Amino acid sequence: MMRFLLFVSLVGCAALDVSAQEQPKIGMAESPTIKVLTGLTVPQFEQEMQMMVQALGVSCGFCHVRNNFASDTNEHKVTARRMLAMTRLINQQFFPDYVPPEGESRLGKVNCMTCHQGNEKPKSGQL
Amino acid sequence: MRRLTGIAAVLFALSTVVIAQAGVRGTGPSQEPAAGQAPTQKPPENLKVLPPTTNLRSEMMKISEALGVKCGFCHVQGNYPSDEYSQKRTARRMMQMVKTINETNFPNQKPKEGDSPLGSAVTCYTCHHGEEHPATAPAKTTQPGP
Repeated sequence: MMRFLLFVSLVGCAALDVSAQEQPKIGMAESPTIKVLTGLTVPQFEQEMQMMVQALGVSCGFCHVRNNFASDTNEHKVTARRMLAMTRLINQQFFPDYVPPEGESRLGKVNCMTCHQGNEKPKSGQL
Repeated sequence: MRRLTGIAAVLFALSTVVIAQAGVRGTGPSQEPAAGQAPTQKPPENLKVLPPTTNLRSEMMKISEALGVKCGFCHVQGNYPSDEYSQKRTARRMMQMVKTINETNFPNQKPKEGDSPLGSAVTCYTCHHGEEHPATAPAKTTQPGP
């Protein structure tokens, strides 16, 4: 009887261990259409979206289809993804040592605000 | 009378030449002692990112405006090609970055007449907006004190 109980408890521990390994995925922002802004928790992902809203001076509907935020039918969302990939590459290539302080964009030294400064289209200075 | 008019004309011509020369010296860089060397006639030295055909004066003025700084921020006065200042080395790295961004992400936006040879979609101004350091986050709102 004691042996059986020991066996059951060991199996139980092993099961708990497996669920503990899968634990980090819970709470992460994951979706088939999240292709660039990966590895963020849900609050971090939402904060990043809010920063984008501020940086471009737009609201969610500028990029997202209402009631289907994952949809890529709006071309602004496709451009936004391309810009995120560009920003990521700039940071990897030119500012690899920069660690963003708490509360700032996870993207790195260069983020949406750097160029957009609250405007839908950045000003290049050549009017 | 005719002789007097002639002398006056010669004096006027001489004074014009003197004033013109003074004007030329006056407009040159104030701290550069080399009066015989016109900066526009010297081929550009130590260019590593910008092509040699660049309109250097126009390009430098754009950088100066975009960062709100003067020449001496990056350049050693009297030795403009020198890389002594770290700001100049950073500027070169940033130019390389701008060139890469434009080539990689905006290949169809070719520079027009008068545009930077580094590309026209992204320029120094795009991020700097007249500031030495670009703003990467919105200005923090100060909380009212207790």
